[in-house]
Amino acid sequence: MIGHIFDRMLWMLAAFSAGILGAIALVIAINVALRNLGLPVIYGALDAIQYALMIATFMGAPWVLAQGGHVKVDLITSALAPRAEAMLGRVTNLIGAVAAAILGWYGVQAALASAARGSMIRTSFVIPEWWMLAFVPASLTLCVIVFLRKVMRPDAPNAALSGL
Amino acid sequence: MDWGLTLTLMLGGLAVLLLIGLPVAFAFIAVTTVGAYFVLGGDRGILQLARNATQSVANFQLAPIPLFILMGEILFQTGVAHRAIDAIERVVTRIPGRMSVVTIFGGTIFAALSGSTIANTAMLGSTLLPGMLKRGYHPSMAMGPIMASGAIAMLIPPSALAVLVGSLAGISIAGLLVAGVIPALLLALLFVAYVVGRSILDPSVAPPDTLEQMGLKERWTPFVIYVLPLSVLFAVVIGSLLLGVATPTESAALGSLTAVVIGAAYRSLSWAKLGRALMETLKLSVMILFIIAASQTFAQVLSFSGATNGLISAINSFDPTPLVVLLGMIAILLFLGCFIDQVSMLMVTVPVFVPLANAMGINELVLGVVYLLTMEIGLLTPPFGLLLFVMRGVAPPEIRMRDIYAAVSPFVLIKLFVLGLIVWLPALGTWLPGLMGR
Repeated sequence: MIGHIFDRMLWMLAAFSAGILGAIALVIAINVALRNLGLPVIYGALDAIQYALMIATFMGAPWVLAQGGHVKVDLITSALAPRAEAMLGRVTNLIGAVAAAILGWYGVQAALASAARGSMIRTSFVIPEWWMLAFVPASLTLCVIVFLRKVMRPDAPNAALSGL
Repeated sequence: MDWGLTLTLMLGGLAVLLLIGLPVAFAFIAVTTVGAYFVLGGDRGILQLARNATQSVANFQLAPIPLFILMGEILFQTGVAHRAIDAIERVVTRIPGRMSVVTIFGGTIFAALSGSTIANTAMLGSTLLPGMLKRGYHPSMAMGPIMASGAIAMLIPPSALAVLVGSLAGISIAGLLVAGVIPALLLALLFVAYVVGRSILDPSVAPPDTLEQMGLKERWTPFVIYVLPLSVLFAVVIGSLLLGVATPTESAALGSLTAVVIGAAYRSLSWAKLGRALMETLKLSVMILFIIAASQTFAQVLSFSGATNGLISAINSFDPTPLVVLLGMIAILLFLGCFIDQVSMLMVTVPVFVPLANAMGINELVLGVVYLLTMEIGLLTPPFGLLLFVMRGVAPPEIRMRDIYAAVSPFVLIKLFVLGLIVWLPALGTWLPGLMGR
């Protein structure tokens, strides 16, 4: 039940991120049209797009991880017997969880320090810097949960291929 | 810490984590976290890594990556791509190895509409492979052209990875996107020459098929309806770059919207298909962007530890010519391409290769095209050529992995030949970008 709600939440964050990507395409195209018509362009679009790209990346990443969509090298794992593969998968996912947890922890520290200093981002918008910094630990916390779930329940072998 | 030790530990650690199957982005996070702690000053180093992670992807230059992927996804999800392949098949007649030639034409056209080699190969494989095998084509004549021309998407704009190479290596993105066009067309031409030549020498590998009788109108109407309108997309994306009227980001955004308009004009667009295209785009884009977020500090750690400069000085102490250095880089990239994915190839080598190339006076566009071609070859070389596995996924079960390796090898040789040509005649890569926006 909780797993289902968690999956639903990851999906909703991903759908939101996918919507952001669509919106980026739309805003840029509108700006090109406005510029060529000699009209004023949408204020702050460039800065907004930069942040939107970052937000989509971090909010989409846990869902992509849960889907097995982050590219990995299966040179050795695919040659192992299923039991050994599952065992190695547990170890790998545990390493992933630890790495994400450590960086996530420092991400929280970076955001808290920035908030305490009152650091602001001054571009077209003036916003507290920690608003942006907070996306890293938020994303990594969800990734830790996904990794830990994979430690308990490794992926089926030969999950979908990922890459370009 | 000695730079040699730092370099060995970081690259060695990364190799081990990649080989045990940790997703690439997290392998970079793990190694860079440790590296940042020891090289960039303890806790401060890791805090810096966390801050860099946001800054590295909040970058307008990277925006074409999702937009180019989105453009291709819309064409695939709406079925526009598949119908165009059928239309191309009708008009390619009376040529030895006809279906293989159709594959190469189709693959090259879609390379110019999509930035994803996987989507391109999967689409060609699922549409054309069953028909070719049924007609008695030798598996190598059926699968080889599919994988080889599927991979051209890496080189022809819109190429998401060209944007990444340009952005990471500080090469003009618009210039690099355009620089891939001539090598890609040359590849397609050589593929056709190989396929036709082999079919003439040994007709059994591609039995001549009896085309159903069709009038001129019947043959060309689908082409006019389903292929010609796609040239609008081509004009919007590549034309705007060539004329210098749009930045790569703008051309990518306009391309995505044009793809939506084309899908709607064929009445093939629905909210569900658009949603699927966006979710697939998210999956591929996040995969790339998350690796960038995780690995930009990797380069900083290498540089700060002195590893980058140390390595460059060590290479310079041999007093090599730029040609030797370029050939050395190619050898390393080709070797890496056999084992690791394209984004990792880039992230591991760019911190060293770009300053090295600058120091040696190697033309940046040539370096960029070399990157794209070696990454493209890396998609096709065993054991970890990604497209070999995509082919495995769409081929019938009786085809063995060995058959797939054998099928692609002549095409890999052709690609190596073109790579050699670019080293020999850099103008193949630099001439077209030189004409931009004049």
